[in-house]
Amino acid sequence: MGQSTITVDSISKQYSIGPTRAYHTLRDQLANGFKRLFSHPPVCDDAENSIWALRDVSFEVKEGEVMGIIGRNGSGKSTLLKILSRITEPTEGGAEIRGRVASLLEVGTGFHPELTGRENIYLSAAILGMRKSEITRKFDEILAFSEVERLIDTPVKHYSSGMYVRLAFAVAAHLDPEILLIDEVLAVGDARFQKKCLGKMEEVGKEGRTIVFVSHNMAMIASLCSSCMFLHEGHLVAHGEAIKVIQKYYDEGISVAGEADFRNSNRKPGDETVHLLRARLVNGEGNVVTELLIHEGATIEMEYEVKVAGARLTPNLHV
Amino acid sequence: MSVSPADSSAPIIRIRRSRGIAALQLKDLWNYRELVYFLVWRDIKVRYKQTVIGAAWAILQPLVTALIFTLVFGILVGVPSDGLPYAVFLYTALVPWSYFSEGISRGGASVVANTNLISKVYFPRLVIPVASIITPVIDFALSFLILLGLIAWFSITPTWAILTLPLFFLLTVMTALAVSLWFSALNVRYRDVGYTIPFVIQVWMFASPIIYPVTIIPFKWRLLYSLNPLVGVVTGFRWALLGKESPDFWTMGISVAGVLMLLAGGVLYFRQTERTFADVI
Repeated sequence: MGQSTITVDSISKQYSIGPTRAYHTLRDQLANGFKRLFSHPPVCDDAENSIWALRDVSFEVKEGEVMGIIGRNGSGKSTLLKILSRITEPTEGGAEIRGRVASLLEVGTGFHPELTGRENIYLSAAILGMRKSEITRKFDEILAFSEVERLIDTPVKHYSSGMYVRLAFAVAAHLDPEILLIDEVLAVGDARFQKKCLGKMEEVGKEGRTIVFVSHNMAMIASLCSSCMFLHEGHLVAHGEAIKVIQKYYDEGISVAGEADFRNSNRKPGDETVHLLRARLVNGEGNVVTELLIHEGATIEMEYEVKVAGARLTPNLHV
Repeated sequence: MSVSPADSSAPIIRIRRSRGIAALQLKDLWNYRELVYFLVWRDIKVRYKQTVIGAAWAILQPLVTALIFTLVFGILVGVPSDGLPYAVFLYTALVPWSYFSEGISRGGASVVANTNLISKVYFPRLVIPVASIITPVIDFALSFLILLGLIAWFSITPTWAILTLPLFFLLTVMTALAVSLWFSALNVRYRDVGYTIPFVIQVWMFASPIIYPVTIIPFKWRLLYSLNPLVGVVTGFRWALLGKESPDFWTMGISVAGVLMLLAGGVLYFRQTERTFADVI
């Protein structure tokens, strides 16, 4: 204990946005010359067309530490995990990681719908970095954990989403790396299974493994993590004892997150016919909230500006 | 497994923006050989799901093509075939060709087809095109058995040259890999490539001596013609199995050199662009 396993040194990540760079055609590229085929996309100075998903983030994670990362959507949490997982490179800065890393950024990485549960256990585990002999050894354990024994030889496309998640997490829970990076994957699944996963994770944490995980579930962060990091718009706002950081997050965030107000904005969502002015989530007592209890009634309030005379608006909500 | 606190043997991963020319990292690829195996296994398993005749498709496809071509080019048009029965002359070329065309169409699409893996988990990206050109080797093996049957049927006795066949197959695989590396990496940024591949395959087939013998190409164009590695492959297959069209040193040399250049460039380009795959894909 005590030695740092992950050392992150002022990492920044820039993405270019806007339609111009998303997909260019081969013709444009050829016009720009063959040289660019091999060159790197340069750091983009054009502030209009780029966004810093992470800006100058530095921290350390000690061996055996369980660290949570919190922040609103788009604060850079997932980008950070992607960089640490070596899926994408940082634009600036660097990091050093001691030990074998496994990352769970999605439920059922590598699952193929046409393959059976049994086949998918092998496939997904191999993709997540397990050796074949190791999978064979742990197969029964994984199967028991997943609780889908009866359908293990059925293609997973016929599974209910709950069974799919259980199988996927059963594989993930049996990974044996020194460092585990987890993105909001526990948010799915029913409450009982979530609890089982948490138990398994705690067990893993106690074995001296280092875990970094992203969650919006503050209760979970508070109970599992020894430390926590709060990201906001790519910047590291707070890092330290989990309870204190969560408190800070609540202090800063809660009044705004359940409401979006575009009334004074130049970029109102919508088109020539209609603009969205305001949207908010209101609970049974009439308060704007970010989280709702499952049995609670809720209202979604949306305020529009219809810009064409006589047009009738029929709002649709897709969940 | 146990984790000791100051495990000096633990690998240290350094994450930085990479600059300059990427290293080849063949060792890394070797460490992930089991993943290659599993991806090949997945593609084979998934391939003929929900089909009635299953793997028989692997045999049927080149066989039906051979039948049509024999009818049109062998019988109706009367394309010369170096004194061999046209069917066997054609099918000997069609077997490596089918592997090649299947390989590059799978290989070219492979990285984009595995977007979900690229954007969610780390592994050496080379694993993907490598796996995709291994998968059709199974089909090749099945069609090859048919080819042996055909050779026996026409009572052609192979010479000792048959021992060189693995070399010509290796040349086929290397060519498929080289082309796949270029196409799959380009396809990430330019989806145009996906639409180009079918045309490339069509043109390439007519630019290779599959339905006709090399001998109909005027001699002064031969060297240029041999830049197409499939010329070396097909001549090699015909020579090794049928004892015809013995490949001259220059033809083979140029074909091999062409492949090596294409492969080196492909690996370099792939390694260079894979850094941004997850951002662009």
